[in-house]
Amino acid sequence: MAEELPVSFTQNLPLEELINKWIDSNLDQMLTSYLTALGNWQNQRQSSFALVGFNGQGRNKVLARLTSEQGVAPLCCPAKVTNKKDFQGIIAPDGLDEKEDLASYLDDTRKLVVLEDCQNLMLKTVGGFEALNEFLHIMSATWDRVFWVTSWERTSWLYLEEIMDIGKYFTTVVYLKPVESGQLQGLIEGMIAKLGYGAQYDKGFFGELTAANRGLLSACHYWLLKEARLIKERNILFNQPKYSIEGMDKLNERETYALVSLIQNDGLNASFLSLVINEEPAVCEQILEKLMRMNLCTIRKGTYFINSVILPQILDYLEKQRYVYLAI
Amino acid sequence: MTGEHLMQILTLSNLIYGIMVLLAASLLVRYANNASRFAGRHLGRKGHWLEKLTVIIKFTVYAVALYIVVVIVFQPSREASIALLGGMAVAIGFAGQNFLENIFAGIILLFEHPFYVGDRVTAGGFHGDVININVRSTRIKTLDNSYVTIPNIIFIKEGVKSHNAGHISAMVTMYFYFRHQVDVKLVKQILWEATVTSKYFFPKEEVKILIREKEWYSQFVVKAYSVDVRKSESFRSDLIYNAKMAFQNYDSIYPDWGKVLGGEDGKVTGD
Repeated sequence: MAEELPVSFTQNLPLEELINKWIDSNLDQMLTSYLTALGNWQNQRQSSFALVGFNGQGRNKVLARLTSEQGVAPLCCPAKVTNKKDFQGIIAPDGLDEKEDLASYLDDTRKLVVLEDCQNLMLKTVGGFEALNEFLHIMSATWDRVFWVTSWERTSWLYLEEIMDIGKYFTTVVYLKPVESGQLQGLIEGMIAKLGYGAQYDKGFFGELTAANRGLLSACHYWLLKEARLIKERNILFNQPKYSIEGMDKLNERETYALVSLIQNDGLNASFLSLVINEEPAVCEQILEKLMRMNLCTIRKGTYFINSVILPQILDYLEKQRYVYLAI
Repeated sequence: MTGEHLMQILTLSNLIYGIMVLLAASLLVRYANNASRFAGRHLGRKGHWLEKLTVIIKFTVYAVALYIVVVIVFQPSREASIALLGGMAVAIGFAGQNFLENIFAGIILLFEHPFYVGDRVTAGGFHGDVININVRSTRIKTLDNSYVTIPNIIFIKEGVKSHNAGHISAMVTMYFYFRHQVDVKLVKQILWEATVTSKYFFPKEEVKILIREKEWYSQFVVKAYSVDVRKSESFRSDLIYNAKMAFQNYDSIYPDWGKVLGGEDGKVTGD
């Protein structure tokens, strides 16, 4: 007799712990790349570092682990930064707007700049690249005195890669790897055994789970628990979910493009969305509310983000409609 | 061929079989069309290749049906075949000339592939998207949503311009005019941003912005790909909208068309 999973079980199989375990098993390789880039810079060779990962992949956690030895507090672009003055305000006090002054300031105070969520320096509209261009100018002008370590959301990075070849500005680019089926299976079985449960699933279950979710750990975790049931003798039965998102094909062109904009800009509020899709803010509010009702996006501090646990399915649909192009 | 021979071949049962085979072929073609449309809807724009396949299937089905009717159902003798061919020649010479001409043109289109279903073409004085290539004619949906049937021979005799040659994306060229004194770097940046931020922009291809110096103005040419040939006009409109919205913050950047044309002042930002 199959039952719902007990709350105690779902609480004890948290995504956070899964991500940490995954980071532990993958950190060495990324650390090697990071230390090589750092070593190059210390030897007066041009060097800068970019870490690229989806939301829910633990991008900034990895960045913190990589730079922990240097003990540098990261700077963050928490929300959209649309002009160069605001960007300068993030990396230096007000009043320093000449590149040479900024370089000297960073040379004196930091030398190593860790900048998280750089995708927020871009808004996909005319005039929305000012902060990003300023960042790239300052980084290019200061590479011999400052080591730049940055993190980027992957879909925004891919958009920037396609339109302006952003990767050429960084000597080292590390993409957070998708989780492999064997690795996921090992992680899950280990955690379940620790809780005193057993697991049952069809052959190929984890292969299908990772393939349907492009190896995105948070998405795998969501679908894994969605259809899981408790059966006798403390066994968990993992059923194959359908991975379907209802109602997406009913979205009109404007709503679909709003969804694309949320992905490519990594979160927007109604006023920013109105600049991106050229609609009134009130209309954008309605669109965002509709996307929320459909569970396609979530809201955090007034900013709407794509629901990262169903991102792979949303991307599948949008790729089919030729709205986004992702080779992952 | 004598009338007696003809009567031997054209029996009632043969005629019924022949008609049934042709009807079956026609039904098969209709199913292929429907299946292609259904798959196209479910595969999104990636189902484009199915539409191309349907054209080949249609021609094959009709060719096989014709073969079955002539060779298997009627089973004409050597003399009858020669006589039939002679009869056909006469028919071609008279009423059926145009009809057969279009069918042969359809076969040439099938092998030469000057365009595919879904392509945007200009032919016979019409401009629109190919929605169906049939044995005798091709259906086009024009930009004002009218449906035009063009006999296949027109494409062979007059030529056809395919704007995307089988690809889904298509290049759009836009012209913008500014005063000579304009800040070239700024204009280029705005035009680039207006292009890459359009929802219809296809990012797999590079954006090219060319500058030409003319007597009365500097011409900026933007060449970029729209995500779908059917969205080319929307892409063009989106690009103009984005650019105009951005340029309205700057004074005296457009050419003084009044002086150029000797009439009233005017501003033109794209064509």
